[in-house]
Amino acid sequence: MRGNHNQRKGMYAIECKNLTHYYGKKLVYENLNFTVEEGKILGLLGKNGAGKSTTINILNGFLHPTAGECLIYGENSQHLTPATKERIGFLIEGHIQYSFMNIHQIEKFYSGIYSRWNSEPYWELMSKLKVTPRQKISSMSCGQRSQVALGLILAQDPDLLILDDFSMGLDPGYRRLFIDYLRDYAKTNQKTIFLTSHIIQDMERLIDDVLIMDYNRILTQQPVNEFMKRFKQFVIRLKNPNADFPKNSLSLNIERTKDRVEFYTYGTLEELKQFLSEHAVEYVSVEQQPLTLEDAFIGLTGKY
Amino acid sequence: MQIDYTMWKAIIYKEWIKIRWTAAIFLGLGILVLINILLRIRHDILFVDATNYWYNVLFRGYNYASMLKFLPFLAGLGISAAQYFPETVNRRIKLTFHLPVKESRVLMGMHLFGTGSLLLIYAVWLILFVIISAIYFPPEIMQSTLITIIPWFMGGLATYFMAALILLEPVWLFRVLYALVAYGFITMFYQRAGLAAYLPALPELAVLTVLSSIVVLFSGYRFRKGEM
Amino acid sequence: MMVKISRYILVFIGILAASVALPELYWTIFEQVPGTPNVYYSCTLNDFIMLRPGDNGVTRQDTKGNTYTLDEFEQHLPMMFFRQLMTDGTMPDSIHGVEMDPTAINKARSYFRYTTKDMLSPRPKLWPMFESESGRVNLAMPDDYFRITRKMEFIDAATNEVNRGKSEKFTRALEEQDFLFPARLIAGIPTTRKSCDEGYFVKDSRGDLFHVKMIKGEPYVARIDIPDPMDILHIECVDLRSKEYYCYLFTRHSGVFVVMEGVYHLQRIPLEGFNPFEHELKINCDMFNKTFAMEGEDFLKVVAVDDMYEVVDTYEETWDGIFKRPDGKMFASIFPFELELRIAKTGYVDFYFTRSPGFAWLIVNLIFVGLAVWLILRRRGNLMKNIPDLLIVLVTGVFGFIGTQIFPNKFYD
Repeated sequence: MRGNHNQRKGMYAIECKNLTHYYGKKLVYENLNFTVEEGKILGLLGKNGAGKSTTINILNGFLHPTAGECLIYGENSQHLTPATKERIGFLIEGHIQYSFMNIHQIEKFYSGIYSRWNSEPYWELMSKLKVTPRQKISSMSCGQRSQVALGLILAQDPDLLILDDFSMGLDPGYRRLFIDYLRDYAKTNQKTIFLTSHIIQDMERLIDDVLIMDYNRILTQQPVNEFMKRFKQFVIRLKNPNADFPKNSLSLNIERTKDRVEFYTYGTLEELKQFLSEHAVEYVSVEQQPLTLEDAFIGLTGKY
Repeated sequence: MQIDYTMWKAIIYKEWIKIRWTAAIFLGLGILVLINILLRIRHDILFVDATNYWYNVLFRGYNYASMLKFLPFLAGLGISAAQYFPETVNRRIKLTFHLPVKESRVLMGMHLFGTGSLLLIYAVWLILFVIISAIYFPPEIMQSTLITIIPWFMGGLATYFMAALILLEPVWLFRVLYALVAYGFITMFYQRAGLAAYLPALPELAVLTVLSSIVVLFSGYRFRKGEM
Repeated sequence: MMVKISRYILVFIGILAASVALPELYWTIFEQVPGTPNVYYSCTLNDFIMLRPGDNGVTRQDTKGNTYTLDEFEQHLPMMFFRQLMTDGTMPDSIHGVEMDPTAINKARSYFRYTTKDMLSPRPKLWPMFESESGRVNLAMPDDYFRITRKMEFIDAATNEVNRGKSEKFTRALEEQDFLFPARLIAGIPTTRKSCDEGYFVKDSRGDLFHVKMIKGEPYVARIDIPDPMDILHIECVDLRSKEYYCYLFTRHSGVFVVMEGVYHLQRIPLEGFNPFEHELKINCDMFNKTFAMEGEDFLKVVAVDDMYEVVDTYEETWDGIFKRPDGKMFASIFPFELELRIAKTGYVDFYFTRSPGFAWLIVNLIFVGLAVWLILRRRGNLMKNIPDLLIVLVTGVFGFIGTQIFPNKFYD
């Protein structure tokens, strides 16, 4: 199969080069570059409107970028061959599925489509749902629908899973369960996952790499462990609540309420202290705060 | 080849699930209308006698099948809506385009199935019509009535094709514009005219109907390229 | 590729729809009444009187420019208004030395109108054959209808079956007159509401003309001698009180004839240039004269003849055709053509294209090409890729502009 050939040749499942997109005259982003290594789980995090959906749509060929291209297994995402499409499992934001069918009909449908179809994980998930066999998917709850959609992707047995906001609508407990299941599944079966999420909680349990996007640009792409190690928050208590607080390349983001300054940086405490003394900032205390991925995300992108 | 076969079977299965009730309802509705036509002919021939009935058809342009007029149109609209509306809800057609088939092929496959179903319904109606006509009327009367109603059926197909185009179009403004064009186009099949008056226009209308069968590809393409 | 083809199909459908809708809208707003007259021949003035609708009401004027009031008009057309004149007591006792007798006047009067639609409409293929000498006052509707295909057949309406005996009898009678099946044209008056039945006039496959009727259940077939190169296009039967002739024959090149009753003599109407595909004909007959008024798109020609079909006077009038009038000129400078599915000229639905004369529309087309170019450049489009579109707009003008804009030429790669 051609797909397998590509798999051996390239080390990237996804490779987006110089991606630029405008909606009319409104710029979404310019010259965006990122890659997803095979076998890795990459989380694309960003605030609403940062361009997550645009990226997903370009990746799935539902949007033609103004310039640049995305390659999936070496093929332009605008013209994926059926063989490559078969290797991609795609979860649409909101767990959209053919909800005019019931769970048996939809399984019957997809089993005819995908040659690697393995219904086991699907029925395993379905057995946990309290739905009647003839119940249409459209009449199910949000959580039930999401499990149908996820179950179908697992049964498809794709090499690359593109999950757009997959945790939406999942109960916290189930979300964690699913995240753990997904990570185990991906690592055991050498799957690549590209996912977006606006719920960042629990995400560090799942992803290998993090890609944080802000309006018009990528803020960072690195292994999540490294990011969590390097990215720090210092809380500075100022002597004078009305004093100006300086900025330089060290400060990635500063959030200030009166005398309390949250200082986000990749730098060390020493570098910060040196910076403060250079600018003659009088402070009461400086201390580093432990961060979760969610805190780090907010710290990097800002609260607004 | 085996894979291809099961895949198309699956795609047809999905289309069938979408349209089966609509198709059954229209098939039944048409049969009821035709039974009604049959009963009315029988009744009228008893009351005004056959000679006068024939006279009204031959010299006064009476169309005994006029009840059928907008049925093919409604069936085309209904099947198109049943088939394509669920695809547009939540932009679900993304799922369809993501299937491991070439996008235009999967769309044409769906379209072909819808067209085939519609043709099957029309065929049943037309066969019933021919049987009813053959009982009561000579070929001349059946022929001129057939020429009168054939454009309605072609118009029904064109309606199916144009409705699919409109439903799959991602931009609302263009949906409205397409609807205007579709209105102008579809009314060509439903002009008020005497019996058999459509005779010279039949070849042109047939060509236009066939041409319009692939227009859905246009809005499908626009959808896929993310027009908004 | 298929997507691009589907777009051109849509553009084409858009052009068709626009070229029906926009001209229709234009005419409903701007069309002007041409104001063509009705022309009568006065046997007292020996002149034509034109009745013309105008802005200040109807005008009545003869060829010398004299105008008439309604009363005067009626008095000069005593054959037409004899009832009114007799009520008023102003009816002359005699005209041209002929004593005025209401019965005789009424008997001689007839009116007939031919429009192209009469010929250019679907025709029935089955006809009722009446018994023409039943001995009863009223005609009776028969139980069957006949067709003349490979033979003449009568189909019983109640059973929908062929009456073999009757069919064979009539077929044989036709064959005896050397009738070549099938019939190309059948004309008659298929109603019981007529003074008497004269059956049908039938043109066979050779182009020969036959008179077919049923007398006391038996077929009556007469072959009518017609001049050799006469291509009969249409026959209109009439039920004249005077019993002067059976029908009008409309031929392709030889004009209009009447077939005299009894003797089947073909009398040519002295009306030159009549084209049954283009012109309308109004025929007014009375004791003294017959007037044949032939009307085309931009002219009227009236011939008055005496009872021997000798021309006594003619009148001609021309006016501006549609594209020479202001409304038509404006149309022709905006729209390159018009598409209609139904036109007054025929009863058939078809795609009737009318090209606007001249090339004034080319200016408007070029403006639309410019507009299209501007829109393409504004969207930073590639002009080369839009050349087919621009050519479409150049040829079809506003229609093509609408078509290409509604279905945008937006393709990737």
